[in-house]
Amino acid sequence: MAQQVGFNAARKRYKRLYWPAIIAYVTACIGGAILVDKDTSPVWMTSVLAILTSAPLVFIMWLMLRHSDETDEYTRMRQLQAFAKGGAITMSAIWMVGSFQLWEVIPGLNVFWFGPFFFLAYGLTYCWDSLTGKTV
Amino acid sequence: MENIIRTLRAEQGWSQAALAEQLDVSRQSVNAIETGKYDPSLPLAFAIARLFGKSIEEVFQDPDAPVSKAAE
Repeated sequence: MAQQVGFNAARKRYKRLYWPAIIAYVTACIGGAILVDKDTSPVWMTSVLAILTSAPLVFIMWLMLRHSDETDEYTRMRQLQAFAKGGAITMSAIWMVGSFQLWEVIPGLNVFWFGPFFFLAYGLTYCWDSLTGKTV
Repeated sequence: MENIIRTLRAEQGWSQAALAEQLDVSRQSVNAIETGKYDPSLPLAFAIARLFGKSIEEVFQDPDAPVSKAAE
């Protein structure tokens, strides 16, 4: 991991790579929706599309961790707390939904949706911690 | 930990954003330290004290510290 470079430089380094990654993700999603038909397209094509759409998101997760490493101590603490709480909420949801599926109470749920669920949990806990109480 | 950063900042006529810029931290960091929501690390506390030309003890006070006989 990189060393701390300060709040302003870390933010610039994050944004410099975040926006190209988001544009790549949106382009892959739109391009995939136009060019690929999952019922008729060959497996290699849908596989490439799956990699092209997921790779930018994996890259953004790495960017978030690098930003946490490089930014100032208070921002890092808030981000890592939100990461931990968002991760714990998501894992709890996975176990709960997984158990319901295992016992065939509910039909199968697409694993993909736990990704957006994590970002939602991360964002909400980040905001919640900002609005309430002493952080350290 | 209590501190007098808000007072020192006001004496200099700096906004929270201006102080944050000089310390290379976020404005939220300055606000959290000023309001006592966050206690800074020693390096950051030293940087704050140095910026105002004071010692750490002048900027930060421990409310649980026993009062010395001399101070009484």
